[in-house]
Amino acid sequence: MTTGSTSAVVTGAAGWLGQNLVRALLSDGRRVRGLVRTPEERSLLELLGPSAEAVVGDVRDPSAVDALFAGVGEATVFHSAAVIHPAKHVRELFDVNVGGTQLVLDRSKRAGAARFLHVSSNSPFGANPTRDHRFTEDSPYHPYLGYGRSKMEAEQLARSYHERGDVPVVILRAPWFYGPFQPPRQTRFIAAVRRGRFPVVGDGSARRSMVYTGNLVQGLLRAERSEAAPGRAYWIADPEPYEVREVVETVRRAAADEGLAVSGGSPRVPVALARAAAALDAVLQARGRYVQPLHVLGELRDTIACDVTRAREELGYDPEVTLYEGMRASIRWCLERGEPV
Amino acid sequence: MRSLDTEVLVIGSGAGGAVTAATLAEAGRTVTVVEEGPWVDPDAIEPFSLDEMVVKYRYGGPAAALGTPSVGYAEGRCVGGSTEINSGLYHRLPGDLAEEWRRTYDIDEFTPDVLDHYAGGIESLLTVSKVPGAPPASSAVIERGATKLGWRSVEFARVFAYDEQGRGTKQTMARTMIPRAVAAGATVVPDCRVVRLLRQGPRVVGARCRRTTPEGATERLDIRADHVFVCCGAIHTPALLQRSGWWSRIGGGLKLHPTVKVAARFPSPLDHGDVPMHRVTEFAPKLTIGGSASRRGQVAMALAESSAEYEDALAEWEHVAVYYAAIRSDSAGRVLTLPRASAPLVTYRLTDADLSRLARGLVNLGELLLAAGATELYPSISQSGVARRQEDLVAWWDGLTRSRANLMTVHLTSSVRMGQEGALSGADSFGRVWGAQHLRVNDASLIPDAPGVNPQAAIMMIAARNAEHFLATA
Amino acid sequence: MLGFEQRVVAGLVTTTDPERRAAVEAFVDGTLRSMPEHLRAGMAAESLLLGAWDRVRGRGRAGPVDLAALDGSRIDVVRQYVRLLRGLVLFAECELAPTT
Repeated sequence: MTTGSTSAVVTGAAGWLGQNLVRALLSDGRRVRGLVRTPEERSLLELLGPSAEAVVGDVRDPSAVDALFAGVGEATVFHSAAVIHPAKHVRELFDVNVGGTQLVLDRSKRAGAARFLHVSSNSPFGANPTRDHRFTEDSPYHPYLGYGRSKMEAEQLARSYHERGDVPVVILRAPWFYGPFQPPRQTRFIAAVRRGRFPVVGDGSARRSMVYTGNLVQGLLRAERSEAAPGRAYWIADPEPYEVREVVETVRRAAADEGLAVSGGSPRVPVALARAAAALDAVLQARGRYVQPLHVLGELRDTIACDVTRAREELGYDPEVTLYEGMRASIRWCLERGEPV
Repeated sequence: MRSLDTEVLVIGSGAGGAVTAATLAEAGRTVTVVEEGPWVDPDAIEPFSLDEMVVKYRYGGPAAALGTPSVGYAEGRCVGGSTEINSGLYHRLPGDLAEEWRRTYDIDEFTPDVLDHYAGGIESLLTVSKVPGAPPASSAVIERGATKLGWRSVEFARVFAYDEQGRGTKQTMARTMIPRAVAAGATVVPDCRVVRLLRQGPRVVGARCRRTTPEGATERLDIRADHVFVCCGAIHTPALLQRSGWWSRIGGGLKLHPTVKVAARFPSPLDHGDVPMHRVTEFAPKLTIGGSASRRGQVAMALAESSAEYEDALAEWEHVAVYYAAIRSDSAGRVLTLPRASAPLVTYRLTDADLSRLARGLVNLGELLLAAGATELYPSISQSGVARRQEDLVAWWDGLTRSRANLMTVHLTSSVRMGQEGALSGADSFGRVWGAQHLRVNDASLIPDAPGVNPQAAIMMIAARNAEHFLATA
Repeated sequence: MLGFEQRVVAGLVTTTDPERRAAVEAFVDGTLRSMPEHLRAGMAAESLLLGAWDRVRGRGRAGPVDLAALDGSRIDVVRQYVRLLRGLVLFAECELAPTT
């Protein structure tokens, strides 16, 4: 058991971002209480040290979130619990991403949290209109399907809690992650790229912003401290977006340099096919059904790229890890865990 | 077959029609109001009783907008319309919504000063007030629970007038605007249903009606009018327009306030006379929490909705009251007149986001009621069972599915819409139906979107504004 | 009311007072008559089908209806059917009760 007061509350503590964030907070000497979904996740989190504590529960559950905030005062809330790829139904996106966010905001307000850091996404903004366009913090909402709408509604909720003076809120928008503690889908991605089986749409020149987990954690911690931040939103990503073909080449190079066999080429998928997948995905989602591979294929042809100037200027955000280094770190993490990369 | 000539024909005598008739009659116009339902003495029937349902409700009871799930609703069908059966809650149209609509629908003369002017005018004619003294226990529940949770709540005003003994009477159209209209010379013809409008090309010239005489016979009545105002409500205005040949952007875009309910049992008895006037506004405008009519009959129905064993709670029904969570929905429904049928088909599609919002509202409602001291909660979800502690609430997320949710709405709007943006609306900024002459709509169907609050204030304000516009221009 | 509807209502009414029973049944009958035509038609169709299904299952044209089976039916419209009738019966019974 910990003594002294919790200074950081983390939802999604056992998630991809959460695992990286909790470790960074603990190594900063902070007391952390995280919300996790299973007793196994709790054990693993509490193994990290005496300053780590976990509550098992559903982020939609008033009693679980009460337990999460029990005895917590002016802590910082890092809200990263979300569903990106629902198990079956589109409805889950809204229940967790909006309903869960509202509950955590409500309890943060009640506890007198010092700051609420809301982890958001590029999805409320859709795709860039051109290859060279970059999303800034002033870009208008243009949500892409259910996930986009749910994350947009969550941002609007978070913003309203700030504007009403209930709790100071900062919104951090992160694009596609890469880094340690990656989920199976990311391991499959790296494995597919290394074996030359990852489909590249068209000539692969579409641009994608990505963010190394370490860079994202840095962004969150800077946003926690910055005096300019409350009430504002920030894009947190690697310095520049990458062309999809560049991502593929870099992953293959990183894999080879970590001693893995690299084979095959990169199969090209016609843009028309990706467009058809996107259309079918939209139809299914309108009926409440979610089919992950279809969704992913549908998004592959888009440019989704953002500009991190505001985060640099106002938060002092300074991403250090490069794509190559980050992918090597991810692959090493997989190899250490015996993940099938 | 009888016929009648008039200058202005107002079809429907609810919040929209009654205000229209009173405004025009008091300005010296010759006004005839036809009302499908009967004249009922406002003091004759107890509010929310079975008699009220049988006599004043269309179909003698509830109807449903079909969908997965269906959404139950009720309309008033009597002189005074739905104002005769509602809770009387009065809330001005929120300014930020009005501004959003002004921009999106391009509505002329819809600025705050204009709207405040007409709202103020209505309020000077009705008595809008909060409850004198302490609110009833069933309403105090909401305030108490909200305070405990740190949620914002507010007491809504109502169109109630109080006598020296503090007894309140709801100021319905039958008590206020209709008598004003009649005193100014308007004729009101109850038990008179408009079959269709009479037209010469795009120009409306009157209405063909079927009237039931006091002796019980039906007679055909043709009314010739220079101008016609259709004020039949969000369901029957588009149905009548469609029957009369106007279809473009008429009937689609129907908006409801989908609502879930919870019957809550408390250790002490509550009152059951008034619908609670407190609302939780913490989650507005997307979500509102309030109370419903809770006579023994409503309590019984609400208890039964959860499929739980409820006889015990029903035996102690004075300890039980019904509360609700209502949402502003993302999607819309449709009214479609059916051939050779008097009732139109009404459908409504709820999105997954809507259902999630309803589940969220239900869980919030559960938290509120438990914080206020409720010992048992019966939600309007089939096969849900009873909740007794906060730990039981999380199951309501997965319990509120399309097939198990028992939803209703009290409010219906937006099936015609107003504004200069012709692609979006069926009538212009003042209710003149596009593609028609001398034909106006002046009721809830004009309101561009669900207001998130009880709409009668907005309906009356807009009706007064549009009636004044008619006087100035026609 | 159609035959099957009468049987369901009879099963739902709890009062033994014959006058009250008659009043409840009259109220439900009146409400069903006044329903929107397409909704009434849908209910009538359901009543005929459920009645026929009952006969096929060998339960005959009279006698109590298995309300629990209807309540727990996997078919949504069947549950809604019972729910509507139950709602009407409950409301009427409470409202027509001698003063509480």
